[in-house]
Amino acid sequence: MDTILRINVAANGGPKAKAEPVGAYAGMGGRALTSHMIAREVPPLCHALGPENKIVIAPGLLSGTAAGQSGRLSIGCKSPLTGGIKEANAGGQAAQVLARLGYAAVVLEGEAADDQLYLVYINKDGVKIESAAAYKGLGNYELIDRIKERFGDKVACISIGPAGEYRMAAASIACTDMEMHPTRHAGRGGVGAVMGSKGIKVIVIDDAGAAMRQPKDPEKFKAANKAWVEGLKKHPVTGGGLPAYGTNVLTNIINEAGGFPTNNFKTGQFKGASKISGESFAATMTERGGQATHGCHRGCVIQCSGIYNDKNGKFLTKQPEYETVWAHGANCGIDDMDTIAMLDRLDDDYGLDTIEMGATVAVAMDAGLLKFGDAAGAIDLIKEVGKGSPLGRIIGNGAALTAKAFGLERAPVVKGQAMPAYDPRAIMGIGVTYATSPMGADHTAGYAIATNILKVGGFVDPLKPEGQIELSRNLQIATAAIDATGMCLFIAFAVLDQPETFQALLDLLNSFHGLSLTGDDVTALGKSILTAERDFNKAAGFTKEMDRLPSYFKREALDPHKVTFTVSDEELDQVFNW
Amino acid sequence: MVDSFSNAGGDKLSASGGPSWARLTGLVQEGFALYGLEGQSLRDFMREALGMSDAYIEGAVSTVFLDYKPVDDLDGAVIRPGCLVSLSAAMPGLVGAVMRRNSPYASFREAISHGGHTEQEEAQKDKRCIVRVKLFNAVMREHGPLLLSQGIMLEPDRIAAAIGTPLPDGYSAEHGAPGLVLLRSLAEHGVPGAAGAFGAPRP
Repeated sequence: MDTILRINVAANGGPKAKAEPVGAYAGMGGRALTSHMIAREVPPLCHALGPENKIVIAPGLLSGTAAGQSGRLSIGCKSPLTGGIKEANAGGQAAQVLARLGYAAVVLEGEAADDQLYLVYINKDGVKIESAAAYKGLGNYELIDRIKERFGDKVACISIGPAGEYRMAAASIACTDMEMHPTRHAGRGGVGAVMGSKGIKVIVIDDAGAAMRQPKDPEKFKAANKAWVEGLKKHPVTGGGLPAYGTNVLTNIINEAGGFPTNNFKTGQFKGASKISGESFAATMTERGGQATHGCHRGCVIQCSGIYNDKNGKFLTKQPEYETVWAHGANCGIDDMDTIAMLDRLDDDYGLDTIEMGATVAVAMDAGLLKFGDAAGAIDLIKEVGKGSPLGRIIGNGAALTAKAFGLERAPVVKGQAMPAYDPRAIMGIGVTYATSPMGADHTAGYAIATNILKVGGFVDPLKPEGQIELSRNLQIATAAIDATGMCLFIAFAVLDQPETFQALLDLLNSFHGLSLTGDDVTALGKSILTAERDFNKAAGFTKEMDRLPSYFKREALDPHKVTFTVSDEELDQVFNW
Repeated sequence: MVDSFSNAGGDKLSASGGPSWARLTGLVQEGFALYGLEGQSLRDFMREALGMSDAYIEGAVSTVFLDYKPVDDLDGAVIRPGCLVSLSAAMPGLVGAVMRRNSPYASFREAISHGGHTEQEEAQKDKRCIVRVKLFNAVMREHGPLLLSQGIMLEPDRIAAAIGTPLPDGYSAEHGAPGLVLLRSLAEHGVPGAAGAFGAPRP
């Protein structure tokens, strides 16, 4: 991974690719590379859909190796949704394949000429770029079927659907999974719109003839990987709950805690939760001949994905994630699995962020456009987005714009991005992260990692109320560092509880790259990423007043616990004091 | 035997669980009733009414709610008539970790955590009372069949909606607490005909 591939989409005669040494970005991967490159090369005040913005697609430091769970791909740009810096990441095959071809990043830069669309093909011999006019307007599923006919089923694809072509602020970028379905999405922040603005419909990556990346110290790497995989398999979350039920195993728990936002964040519990829980999905998927336990990329140990078949036993979509089930389910008052699965399929096909779309449909319901629980109406509304109708153009630009269009205060967003599946009034610590993350409201920005193992900023007393400020800070630092490795964030649970598994992760990095990283170095890496992101946002015009939740979360009490968000603005302003 | 629930062999459960399977798991997730003792600690209720071993409680039941409040102290939290006990294994995600008993991230949920002794009213010791119970995920899968073989109490209309009337083979029904039916699985520690126990088999 010592090469950066830059594709100038504004070149005379169509996009031109140029490979160059990794240079100043040596030693960076994933979010570290995307955020440092965006901070260094993109003017913060530029328009997100203009020629100065760039899309940076980067595998992690361990992607393309034999290390388990190392298939995460980071995609960075200035976000058309938040106006700030963005890193969205996805599973699937693309990170592994791109890394094996030796690319630390693929960068799309410039501004597409007219309405031309292009296909980029990358293999061990180089890069070819050709017109993708024949693919214009295609959904991701049909697009990938056509790619499969032409290039076979061993390639990996990174693509946009119609939403990306329409340059909608909720547009995602799809990555294909092991079955070559376009089901894994870099969803958040409108990264698909930026790829659309560059006129790139699909990047086809073919690693035929490319070898797996080799570690500097093969023996130590092999031993570290063994300990790593054993650590993941023996942990009850990564070895039990996630493979059996997927991420949606959370529905019952968050509902039980009264933190499951329902009907556009009006209450914290959904009567139909058990009908759409991970347990119920797993039972139905098994009955229909699907799979409740499945990986999204080769080398996945946790296997938290799945195959969801329709009533006739035919593939419909992957097992919907917890956030999708919440967004299109409880938050819209919908308790029907098949409706949620269909909405997931449509989002993947059009290339849309499921969190943003579920939140937006709920805002439309709250505004009276349709009723909460109207399953057919929700499907019709997402189809409007796919068609690019005037109404669809509003919905496809997210919850904040839709609330504004329909005169509604209750838009559950921070920095323009919709909140995910945890109500910040019941779980206030997550509200601190929603408010202060440079990404906008994001549940993955401050994930679970061994805070007190890393001792970032000292040991945190979990019983002190102020702990949530320190914890949010530490979690954001640790998450940024994990995002640089290409590791799936779900490793965090095993690392949280098992110090030897955290050590195995360090050993993987050190033996592969010939380094001697410690926990302190990991902390420094996380801080450097967050600092670059915060500096970019500041230069883009962000102020501390944007690190806030909407005021109605302080005003409206949430049932059943009747709680409001009570973390003060002064406390929020302390999160990035280090 | 409750007349309307007499067995007639309909709606047979297949090896994969059959048409009743998902609905049976639905009943356990949505909740059923058992008898507990007023004033009993939550730990004692889990031992005595649910039949859980200390090792299972400590090792597997990582996430516990009493009346929707995450519980850290199983000895301080007390059973009261009509209370709801919800039990789960360790959960993923930051918020999943936040909800665990004695989580290092407990401050994230400070506003909703169960307060232990301080918020309990004086309870009438040792008086039998109805307790509602929900089991989720691995706890449902691992412990649900045992409870079902011992008997769980449900509203008759919920049983009818879930597995039909007359009852499928392998179940019995008796009068339970007022308004409730005591449903039992006649298979030893399991659901008749089901390959796994209450959910997808662990890989």
